Amino acid sequence: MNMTNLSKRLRFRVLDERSDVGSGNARSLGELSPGAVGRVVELSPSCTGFERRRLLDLGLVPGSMVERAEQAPFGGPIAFRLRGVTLALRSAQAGMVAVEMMA
Amino acid sequence: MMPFSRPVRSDRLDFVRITVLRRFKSFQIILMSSHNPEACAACPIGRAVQERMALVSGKFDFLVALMGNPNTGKSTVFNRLTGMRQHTGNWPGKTTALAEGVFEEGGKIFKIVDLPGTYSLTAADNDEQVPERFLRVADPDVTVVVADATALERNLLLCFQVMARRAKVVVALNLVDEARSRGMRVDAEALSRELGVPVVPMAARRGQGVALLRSTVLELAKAEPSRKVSQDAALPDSEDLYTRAGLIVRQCVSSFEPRFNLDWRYALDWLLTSRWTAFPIMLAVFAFVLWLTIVGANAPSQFLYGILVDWLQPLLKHAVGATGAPGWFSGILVDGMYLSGAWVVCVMLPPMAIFFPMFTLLEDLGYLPRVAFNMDGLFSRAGAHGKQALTMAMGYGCNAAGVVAARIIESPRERLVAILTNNFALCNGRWPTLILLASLFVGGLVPPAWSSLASMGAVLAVALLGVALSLVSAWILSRTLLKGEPCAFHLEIPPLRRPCLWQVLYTSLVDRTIFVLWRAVVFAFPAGAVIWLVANVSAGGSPLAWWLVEGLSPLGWLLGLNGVILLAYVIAIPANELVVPTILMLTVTLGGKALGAGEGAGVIFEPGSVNNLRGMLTGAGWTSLTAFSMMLFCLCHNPCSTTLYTIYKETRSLRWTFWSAAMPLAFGFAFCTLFALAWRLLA
Repeated sequence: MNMTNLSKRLRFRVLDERSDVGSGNARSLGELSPGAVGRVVELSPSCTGFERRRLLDLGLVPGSMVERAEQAPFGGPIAFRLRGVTLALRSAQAGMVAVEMMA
Repeated sequence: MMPFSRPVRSDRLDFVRITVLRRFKSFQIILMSSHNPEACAACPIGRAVQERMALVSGKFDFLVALMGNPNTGKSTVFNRLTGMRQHTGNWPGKTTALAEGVFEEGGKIFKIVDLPGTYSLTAADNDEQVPERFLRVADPDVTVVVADATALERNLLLCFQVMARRAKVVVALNLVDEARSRGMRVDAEALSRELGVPVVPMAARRGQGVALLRSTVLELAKAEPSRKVSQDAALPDSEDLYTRAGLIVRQCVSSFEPRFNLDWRYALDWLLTSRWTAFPIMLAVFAFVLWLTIVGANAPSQFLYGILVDWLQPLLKHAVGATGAPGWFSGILVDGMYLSGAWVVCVMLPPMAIFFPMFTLLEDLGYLPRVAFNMDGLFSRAGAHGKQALTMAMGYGCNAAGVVAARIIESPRERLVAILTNNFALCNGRWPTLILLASLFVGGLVPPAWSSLASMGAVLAVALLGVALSLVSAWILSRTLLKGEPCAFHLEIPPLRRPCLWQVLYTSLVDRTIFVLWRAVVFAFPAGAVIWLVANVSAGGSPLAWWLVEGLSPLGWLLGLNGVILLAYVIAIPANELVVPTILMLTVTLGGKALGAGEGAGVIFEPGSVNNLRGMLTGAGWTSLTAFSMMLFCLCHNPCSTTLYTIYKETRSLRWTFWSAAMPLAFGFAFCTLFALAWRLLA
């Protein structure tokens, strides 16, 4: 699943449902810059089954505030802070979570 | 097993037999108790006896299930409740084992089961299914859910799910001391009102709240169920639960200015995981642990040797001889079996008593998940999982424990990769071999002031080579036997916590060190008998060992080793610790034979000083090539039989067990041959 394709699709959906939201606001979790905060909009429909359940159970439900922290060396996973916990995800998975950029 | 002492009989006395800590199966004590059980309950010794009986015979009044997210201090709560009255049903290490314990409160006996940490009851596979199944199948009377006060929202998910299926639930709100230091205050009473179940605030690692928890569990156990739930109720949607959790947390948790600014934690975290500092720090920590183990184990090992071998062995030999038993009997018993066991203890106990506490310290601190975080970039490129760094770290203590620890990896493919490559982590049984070789042949090459540093450097180099080989072999496996795509990866990084020192010492020494050592000694005895037989049973005028060594010599030469080393490796398949004593015994025995020494040239030897040992080995034909080649082979050979058996139990497949032995061996042969070739060409 190409991340560029996915993020293009996500942006398209947001514009449809809420036309008042600016087009630049929706991103995938992987695109957050260090220290930025995003609010989870939804999980990509291609994320299914066990993986989807796991991400939801960990707190990546719509409405959660997520702050991006460090990325590991060698292009490793990215650490996120949400709901009082620090969670590390690989870039591919972070790309499956659509977030709305906050301040 | 004979009883400790002859019991005194009387009409009014009963006998109560108790097994203390099931892992020491053969150790039993015989206690006496009177006909009057109430009197027993009133006396602390009698109570302890009753609790042990419940643990063994399974008689208890109430069953309690202990659940919670990982990293909530669940084990601490468990330890505080049960004290020493517990045992683990499986290998020590990651709490993916089902520990059972017993405690007594208000005259009732409670059996408590420590379930594996889980984020939710809806987890699909592996160990995380256990709590959900346990609740359904075992039908505990009371369920205690341990929640982390610093991350209440996420923890409430599990609480809600458990409350949907069980009627009697207690929420143990742990880590309130940490919450306070972070400026969070949780109103336990308000939380209890909102949830509708009792909430017990606790700081288990300081012992706070434990008494309240016990009395709450007792009350709840005796009371009638106040809520009607069904065991198979459908679990509510996670999104709804999080919404509820968010609302409750906003009501019950208030923040205030903490006493100490906690930004230093973020700074430390940045230091531990940033691009430039992460790896040097990991290397430094690894090297430090290695160095401390090497240097610190020296004196205790000599001391133990002085007692167990220099002093005790001749006594035993004399004692057995005095019973009139034939020479071969005392030979097998004392020179073979006892000597092997004693050696294993002398050589293994000191390093393990240093390594395991340090490892447990790092684990308690929360450093290990950060290591997994740092290493995942490399591991995922090799087709493996970042958590493999944790199983490897465990493998440095004991490979079998590392294999069991692979359960923390959810994806089957990545788990197999972790299991098959675990052998490249040098287990404690192999450290003495490497340390000995390094101090003899590397440390001896440099001036004495540098010798311990040089030995450490050599051992570190081999250990790092092992890490590199894990990655390389994982890469190879991912493209051949275990083809597949990288799986989903998620890792919770707990905040850095001050480790609880006593608990660290207890877990590492009793749970890990003694347990692993025990297994090693048990395997040492039969191997010791084999060694003695091979050295002393003759055929065609020479000991069996001589024939075997001659047969293995050509292969040995090719690898840069010799026949003695190869024979030792074959004999020491049960346990890696035995390679060195076997080599020494064979060298002495065969060397003695070659020099025309008398029959039964004993296997009693005195390594004495380092120079003596080196002299003995060089006299037997060892060169630097032999030593270096052996260090390589020590890294890359088949796992010990316990590990193989554990791999078979974990994978349930002979095929993978075969590969777990064949792959390192193939690497070993290849490396040693190439190394010997290069050495001979260049020398």
